[in-house]
Formats: sequence, C-alpha cells, structure tokens
Amino acid sequence: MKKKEIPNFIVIDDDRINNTICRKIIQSVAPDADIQTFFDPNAGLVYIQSAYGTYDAKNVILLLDINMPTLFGWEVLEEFKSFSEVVRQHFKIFMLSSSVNPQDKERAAVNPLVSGYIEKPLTLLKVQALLYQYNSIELN
Amino acid sequence: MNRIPQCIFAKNESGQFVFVNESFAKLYGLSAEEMIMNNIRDLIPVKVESSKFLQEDQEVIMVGQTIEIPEHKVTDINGVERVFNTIKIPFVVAGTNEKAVLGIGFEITEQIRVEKEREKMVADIIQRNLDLEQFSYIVSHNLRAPVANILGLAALMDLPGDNIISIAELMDNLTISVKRLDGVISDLNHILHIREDINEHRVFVHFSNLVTDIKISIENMLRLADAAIITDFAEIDEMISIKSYLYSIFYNLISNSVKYRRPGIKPIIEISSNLLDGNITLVFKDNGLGIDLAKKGSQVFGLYKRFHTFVEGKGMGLFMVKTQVQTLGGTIAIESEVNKGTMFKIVFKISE
Repeated sequence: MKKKEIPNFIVIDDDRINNTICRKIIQSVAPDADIQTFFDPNAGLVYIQSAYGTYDAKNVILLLDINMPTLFGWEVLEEFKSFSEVVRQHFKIFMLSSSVNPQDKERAAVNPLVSGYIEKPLTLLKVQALLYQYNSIELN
Repeated sequence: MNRIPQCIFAKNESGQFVFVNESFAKLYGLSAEEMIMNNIRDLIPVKVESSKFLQEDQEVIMVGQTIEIPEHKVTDINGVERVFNTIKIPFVVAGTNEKAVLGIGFEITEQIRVEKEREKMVADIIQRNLDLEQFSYIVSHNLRAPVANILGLAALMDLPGDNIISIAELMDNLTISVKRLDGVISDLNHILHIREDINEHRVFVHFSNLVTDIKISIENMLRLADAAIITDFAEIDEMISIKSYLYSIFYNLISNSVKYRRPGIKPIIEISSNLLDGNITLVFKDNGLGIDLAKKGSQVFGLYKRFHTFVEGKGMGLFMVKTQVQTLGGTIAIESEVNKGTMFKIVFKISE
C-alpha cells in the first residue's frame, strides 16, 4: 500500500443535511476522493456489497450514523459482518453520531469492526485526523 | 392456647387430630370438637393439600426431627390461599407410646402479599427509570442532531475556496435544521404534557363510540385501503378514564393497522374487550405487515423508532400509546409475526 493514499468515502446516515455537510467537507480536504452518501442504510449495504466485491477495489472509509429510525448503525455493522472477507478488507469504519449516550461510545470502542467514533458535525480537522489515522493504520 | 392467633394442632400417627386450637379450626370453618379424632383427609376439601400435610407429618414422626416450612400454603374454608410459617415437632403422647406431631403455624399471608407488591413496585420503578433515562438520551440526541447540522453548515461558510455551498442551499438546509429543532421541542412539550395531564377529569368512555368517532375522522384512509373494523365490546363497552388518552390510543393503533397493511390483502382490524378479575383487557388485532419482534422487540415502543419507511411517520405513535396506557395505570403488550399480523393487548385494572 503506497503512502498517503486517499481512500474512497461512504457516508450512511438518514439525515440528508449531514450527508451534504460530509460530502462538502470531505471534498474540500480530498477533492479527488470518490464520495458516496446514502440516507437509506439498506441501500448503502447493497452498494457496498456490489461495488467492493473484488480484490482490486479501492479502500474505503465508511462513516456510519448510529441512530437511524429503521436500522441502528449497530445493525448495519451486523449485516456488514456477514459480508465476505473480500468486501470487508477494503473498509475502515468510523461511527459518526450526535449521540450523547455514553453507551454508544463504549459500544464503538469495543466493537472490533469499528476504528473510531466521530462526533457530529464532521469538520475539516476531523477529516484530516481521519486520513492521518487511516494512513498510519495502513502503514503499520 | 385457644385465644392465641397462631394455629396450633397435634396429630397422631394415623393422621387424626388429637388437639387443635380455635385459630386452627376456624381456618376450616369448623369447631375444635368437630376436628378432634377426625382425619384431616376427611375434613378439608383440597385433597392435594391433605396428602401433602400427612406426608410431612409421617416424615417428622419417622425421622424424629423438627422441621420448619417457611412458606406453608393452606387453602381455607373460603378457598383462599393463606401462607403460614409452620414448624412441625415430633412428640410422644403423654402416658402412651403413641407417636405424634405438634404443629405451630404463624400466618404470614399479609406479609407475603405486601412483600410481593413491594417487589413489583420496585421493579416497576426501576423500569420506569430506565425508560426515562432512555427517553432523555433520545431527546437530547434528537435535539443535538439538528444543532450539529447548523454548526456544520456554519463551518461550511468558512471553508477556503469558492462555491463550496451556495447561499440558497445553505439557507434551505439551515431552515430545515431549525424546523427540525423546533419539531423536536414541540414533540417534547407534547410528551411532557401527557405525563402531567393525569389530573384531567375522568369520565365514562364508551369503546364503541370511540371507534365510531375514529372511523369518521379517518373515513378517507379507511375507504382507500378498503379496511374493515370488526368490534366486539359485548362483554364490556365502557370504563372511567381520560377520554382524550383512550381516543389517542385507539386512533394510533387503528391507523397503524391501516398504514402498515399487507399489500394485496384486505386489512381487517379486530378490536375486542373483556372483563376478568377486575381487569379490562382490550385486544387490537390486525392482518398487516407485522414486526420482527426477535430483532425489533426492544424498540417497538421507542421514541422516534420506525420499522417501515414507505409511509410518512415520525416514530411517535406507539411511544405515545405506551406512555398514555401507563399514565392511565395500564400495561401494553405486543405479539406480532412478519406477514401475519400484529396484536396489541392492553390491560387496565379497575378493581380500585
């Protein structure tokens, strides 16, 4: 894996405004990044499975909302867990939430699929930190 | 010995009473004389109990050791279950070789009842507290979400580079966020209002009238869905309650059944009531989409939780129903199967 790689981004959140904010913030940090946003978690899962089923697909940072009215982020993770290793290997998952429930932070910390927890709103600094963390994970 | 409240009795090896005090005889609606030299088998109606007592006696006599039975259940003359803390002591009848058993029973029926009631109350309070904690997390989350959006949108204006976001787009999104914030605050007001409205005066509410009123108010919706409402309030059609709450409960459950009907199947909503042991039970049954309770059971009555996205909804209906049922002192339970239907059972105590 080459250094300073810019991954693709996927945002899954039922909140369309947050998706807009995320898209614009990520764009201004990484103008060339491929950014997909989904307000329907099931549609997001379908996309993930179909677009990342090959070994040569790019790596992805997935920003996943926790509180969605039909499906909790945790349930999305459960679904994701059942995907093949080919799909899963491309992903670094960060929970993105405005939740103030400490249980949510704890759950994110202990879930092996989750690389981190980001409080809304997403900002330039947070995306920069995310990319820094992403690249250091990759370099290890 | 006759006057003390404890029940005292002595039985010989063959199970005949050789002594009973008044407290004990009264338990069975008999006099002491009527019991003496008679076998308990022939005196009390509940055979399972008499043979259990005799078996205990035999054990005490054979082993020759005192036993204590902490919660000894006895059915009295009126068929009421009473609980005693009983000790059974082996002895030999004076001047003979006859082995016998002496029993002393201290009644704890009331204590047990109070204890059970208290345990139930504590469990209820703990549950209510957990619900409230969950409620406050959800409310603060739903307040924070639009606030985070407003902060995020404001930050977009500071981004370097042009045309990150147009003023029109910014204003649109800001307006939506502020409206959402306002929406959550008015929902919150609405919910808190229920909890304090408990003192609203109670009147006789007729279930059949509620259904008629609701049918009129959602006539269009019912006609478009070709829905049928079948009611059976023959057993009980009224209760003293807060009318607006019962209306809202009926309204939400009925309109949910119509909204979440199965495509291609005529929606049939059955509503019935029954009266048993001082409880009014209301049953709402539909043949709709159903909910996967194994997956979603814990969220069914949650605030802002939704299970289907194809129709409009805020995720407040069942939360309001549960809050109103609880405020009226009742309980609500759900049974559901995907593609079969859903049944809600509401129980109100009226024996106060």
